[in-house]
Amino acid sequence: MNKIFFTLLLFCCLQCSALAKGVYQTSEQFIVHAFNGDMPSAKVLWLSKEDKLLIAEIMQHKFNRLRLRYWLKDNETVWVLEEIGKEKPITVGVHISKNMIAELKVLAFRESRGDEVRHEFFTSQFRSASIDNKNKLSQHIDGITGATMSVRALKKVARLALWLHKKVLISS
Amino acid sequence: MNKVKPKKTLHIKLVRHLREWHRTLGIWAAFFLIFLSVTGIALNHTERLSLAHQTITSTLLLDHYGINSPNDVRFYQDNRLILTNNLIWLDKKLLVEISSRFVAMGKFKQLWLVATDQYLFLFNEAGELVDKISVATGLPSAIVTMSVAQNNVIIDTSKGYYQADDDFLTWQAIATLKEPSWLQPSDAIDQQIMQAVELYRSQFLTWERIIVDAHSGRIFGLFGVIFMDIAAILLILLSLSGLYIWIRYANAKR
Repeated sequence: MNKIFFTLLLFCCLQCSALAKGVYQTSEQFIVHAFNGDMPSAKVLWLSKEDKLLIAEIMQHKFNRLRLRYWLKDNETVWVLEEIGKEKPITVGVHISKNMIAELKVLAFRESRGDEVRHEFFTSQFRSASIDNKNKLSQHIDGITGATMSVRALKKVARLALWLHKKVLISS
Repeated sequence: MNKVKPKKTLHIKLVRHLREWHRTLGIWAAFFLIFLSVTGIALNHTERLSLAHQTITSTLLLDHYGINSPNDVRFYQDNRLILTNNLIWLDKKLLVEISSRFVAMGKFKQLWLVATDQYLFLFNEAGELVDKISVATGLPSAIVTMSVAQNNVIIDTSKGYYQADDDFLTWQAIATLKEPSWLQPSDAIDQQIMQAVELYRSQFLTWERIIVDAHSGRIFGLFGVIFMDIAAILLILLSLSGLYIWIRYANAKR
């Protein structure tokens, strides 16, 4: 009896970890949704040495890419960024309007734990968030027990997208 | 008075023996102290000396640490691009460590391209990462192979052929009359393979690791650790004997 119980328990645990992984929305679907059915062509933001240093400060690790792509329409931008939660990258879509986050969504989650961050109850906290002069989020984001790394990754992505949006608007 | 005399002679004998011991031990200890001081200073300035970035190429040390040769070594683009297991090199510079299945690599205009089944990495002439294009940013999924011609880049995926625009921002599904010439690994001579193997192996051993292990004795395994422990105990004994001799000498002077 005990053997059956433990086998079932193990099966359930494995199922939970398998369910955590997944692609919830494609970047194309996210962009089309953000721009009310339009799909503007992608643009490229080239990053200077100073930009990369600042991004490294936001992301708290070295950032070595020379360019990032984004989608722009009527001063609104969409960014599809990746950041590692614990071991694998989480793909996040961020729609920014009027220097504030209009929507933040987890597009793909590859870790075995911490996928609670994809739920609306968590991502809705980012709505209307902006960044201050020190590139910190203007509002508090409640954490999730057991998903600390994923929460941290999403907060970093949100800050980065807001900073990138500002940079795009200033340079254009 | 008669009771004090044997005690004094015992002390004198002890101090005399200690002095001899102290001298002999001191000579041996000097080597250890110099060695430990030099390695200690080096470890204190690891970042300044960039010891963690200086790799070891000595096959003797690499063998000693049991660092294996790569199973998969392939050369592309006049043998300038090298794959060793999951590490990609441009000449002798490490470009990227890939985590998905390697597909192909080559040069397109001013860019070096590295394709895996999930990502396409773009590097400039200097080997700096320009972009890492993923399925999330528009790359067709499940790349099987890649073709790099003078004016276009074509990838073969599970859903057919796709051609990139000049900036690799969009991918267009295409049908070709003539089969594109897919990138293939080039032949390499034994010396080039040996160099690639050495490059790969040296990535896993740095001067920092060697110095840390030499400092602790771990470089010679358990025997080295025990040896360093004994050396440390002898240094403690040396300090204690020195202190004892000094106290005796100071008392005698009074």
